[in-house]
Amino acid sequence: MKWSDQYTSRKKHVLRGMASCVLAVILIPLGILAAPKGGQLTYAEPILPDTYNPVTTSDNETSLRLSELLFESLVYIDYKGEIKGRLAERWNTFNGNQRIVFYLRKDVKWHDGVPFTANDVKFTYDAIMDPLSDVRPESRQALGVIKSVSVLGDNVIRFDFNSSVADPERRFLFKILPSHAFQGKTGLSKFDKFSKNPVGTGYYRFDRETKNRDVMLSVSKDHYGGYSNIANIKMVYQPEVTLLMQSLLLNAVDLVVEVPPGKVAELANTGKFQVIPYNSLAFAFFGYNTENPILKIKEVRQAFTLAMDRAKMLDDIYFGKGELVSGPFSPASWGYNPDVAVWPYDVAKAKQLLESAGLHLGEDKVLRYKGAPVKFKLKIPVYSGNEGGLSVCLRFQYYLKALGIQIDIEHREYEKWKEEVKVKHDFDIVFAEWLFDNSSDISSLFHSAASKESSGDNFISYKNARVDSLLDKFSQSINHEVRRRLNYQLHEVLADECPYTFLWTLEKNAAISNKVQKVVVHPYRFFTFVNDWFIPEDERN
Amino acid sequence: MLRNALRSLVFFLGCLLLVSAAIFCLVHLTPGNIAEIHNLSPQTAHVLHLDRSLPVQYLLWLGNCLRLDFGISTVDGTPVFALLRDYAPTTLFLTFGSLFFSLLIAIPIGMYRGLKPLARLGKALSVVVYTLSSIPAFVLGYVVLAVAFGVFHSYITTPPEGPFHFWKWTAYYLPPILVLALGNGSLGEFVRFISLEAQNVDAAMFIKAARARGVSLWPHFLRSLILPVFNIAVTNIAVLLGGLVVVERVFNFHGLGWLSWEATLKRDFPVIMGITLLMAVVVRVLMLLNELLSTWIDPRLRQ
Repeated sequence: MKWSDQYTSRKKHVLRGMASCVLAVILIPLGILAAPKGGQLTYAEPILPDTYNPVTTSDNETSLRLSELLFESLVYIDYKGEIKGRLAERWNTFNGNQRIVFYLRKDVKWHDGVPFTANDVKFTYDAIMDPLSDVRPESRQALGVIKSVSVLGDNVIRFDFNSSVADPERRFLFKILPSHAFQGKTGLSKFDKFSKNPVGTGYYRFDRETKNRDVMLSVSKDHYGGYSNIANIKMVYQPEVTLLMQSLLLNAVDLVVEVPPGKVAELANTGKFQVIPYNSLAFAFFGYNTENPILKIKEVRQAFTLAMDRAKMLDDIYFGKGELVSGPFSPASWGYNPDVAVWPYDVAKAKQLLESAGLHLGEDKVLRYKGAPVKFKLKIPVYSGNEGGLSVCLRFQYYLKALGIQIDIEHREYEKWKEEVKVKHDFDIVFAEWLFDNSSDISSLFHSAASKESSGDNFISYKNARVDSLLDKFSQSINHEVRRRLNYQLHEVLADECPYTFLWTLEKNAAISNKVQKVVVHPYRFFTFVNDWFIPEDERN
Repeated sequence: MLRNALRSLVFFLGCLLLVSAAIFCLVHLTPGNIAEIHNLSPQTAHVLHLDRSLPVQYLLWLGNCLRLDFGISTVDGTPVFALLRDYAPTTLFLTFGSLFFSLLIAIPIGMYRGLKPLARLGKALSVVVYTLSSIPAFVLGYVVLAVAFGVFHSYITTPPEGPFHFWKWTAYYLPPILVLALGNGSLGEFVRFISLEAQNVDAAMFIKAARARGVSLWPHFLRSLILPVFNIAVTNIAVLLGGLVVVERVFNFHGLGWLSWEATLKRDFPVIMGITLLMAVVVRVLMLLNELLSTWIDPRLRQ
């Protein structure tokens, strides 16, 4: 080799090396080199999706999780609970939050190649509000504050509200549908073809549903955010807990979205899985029918709360996988007041309170009120997955028996339970759970006006002037900090009033194979950050 | 003969009508409004006739059934006929497969027990058979799964995909068939019945005469057993169909049993009605076949 050739060759090496360094410096932080693309993630769900249309789904968690993969909303809630733009690039509010204008991304395409425009947003809003649509009433209620919608261009849309709305962008977490798929017909049926063959803008596109009801998704390579790392996602249906766990242990699936509390330690100990806790902003409670002459006495409700060793119940029944709550919010919620203490377990004080309320223990160890033995009907809904609830009610019965109170537990099929509790108010005590979004608005639960609604959420008929006043102020306020303070006050008042015995927020745990990396789970939408997940090449089957 | 056939047909149709009416009433006795449960708008409820009175709903459903239109699933709108078409083959395969295995095991054991009632081997086999038979199918199912998962580290409840692979196919299909064949009470019933029939046939005069003449006994013997065995097999199909719900659920086997479980949980009434009607038709058709076969084989029944 001649010197000049050697020089040229060396120069080439140097240049290649420099280019590699420059590329590495640029690409590594971008995560492109670190996150190989490809592979399949198989995850198991304990219930089948009812539809793939996020607007017509009946509160089905499997459908909601799938819609997070397939569809997108104007905005989303990030890791820190803050609102960030997704289909909306930015937005402005006007007239003291009476108007909001969204400026939409221009580079978004539906999975069938049609560009996304503001007309799709208007169509989705119209479809939700159309009385002919098969939509949950709650979805309509959330958008009931909107007075009018105007499309101001392909990528600009304006919403006007009836009055000032706090955090108006939080109203736009609903998924957007393609208007062209429905030819503009806003009366959506659960049985539309779209419900079986959805078209979204999400990181994954719908491929097919197999005869075994497995759902196959593949990555959308046209996604404006760059396409997701994992090439395919397969959802398999497995309702049996035993099989669900075995499928994970034997590598038939990579992810189980909700591990039963009793299995968490077992899975964690194998070292093969990442057990990821996530919080669903839910809490369980015993609710007291305040139309009952005994249960309307505050001291009685307080005594019941004091008589239960809730920490022990949580440990024994749910293996301690949760957190006791002192009021009507989950500890993860911004409305939760950390200064309010959880009622202690104090049977002696409970007995004192009952005495002060005029309930006396007879010689036969039976508590009496105005001479009559005290007994209550406790109604619990029976459905798959509520086995822990049955144990909780038995413990409640045991603790109250120690006070001389007879509790008759009545199990009801879920629809029957709803009819007897929410419509007929035919109960004394109920055991149930509330699941919230991040709005932390509890007006429908405790406002006296809500107690008059048929099938309303204030089925305990709770009435308290101070609570009403705080809830009214909450509804009228648009300042987040003011609302937080109002929620703190509500928390304090309701913790003292005990219209419910607030029990706990259970920790949900997902288990995912170690082969899937960079896993971050959204607190209640789960797959929001799935585009960052990846499976190294040597770990793919 | 014609009159018998007509009478059987009328009885058959009457049974279907009664079964469908009974199931329709039962599913509508459950609390809650179907349209509300499934978040259906008044428009959709109207299309599905849910806003009509119950008798009218039933008559409309019945009228549509005559055109093989069983309505649509209130959960996702899939036509019930399409669901039945997709899920029935799996169930029929499971039912007749388990029946085949039950008979394959029961006939030799039952014959042996019937012909040699005092043999120790026969008694030992009976103990094994009755023990297996008395285990509920779901318990046996879970035991099989525990062995498959724990001992063989094999996840056998995933339906095989892609090109045909014998072992994968066998691992998925054989366990539920065997569990239903061995553990649903049918096997013990078959063995007991066949052994009694074998004893009766063995004691019959024509067998004694054949034995005296020194001719081969088996053709006579087997011919006499065909009818009672067919009888008991048909009777047991209904029992097998009942056991399917549990076995299909345990093994994640996507057939009509699995579908009916899902439909019941979700209150998908058209699907429940469709499955019930199909099951009733299958059982009644088999019984009708049984009657016709009996009449054909045994001329005395034609009288």
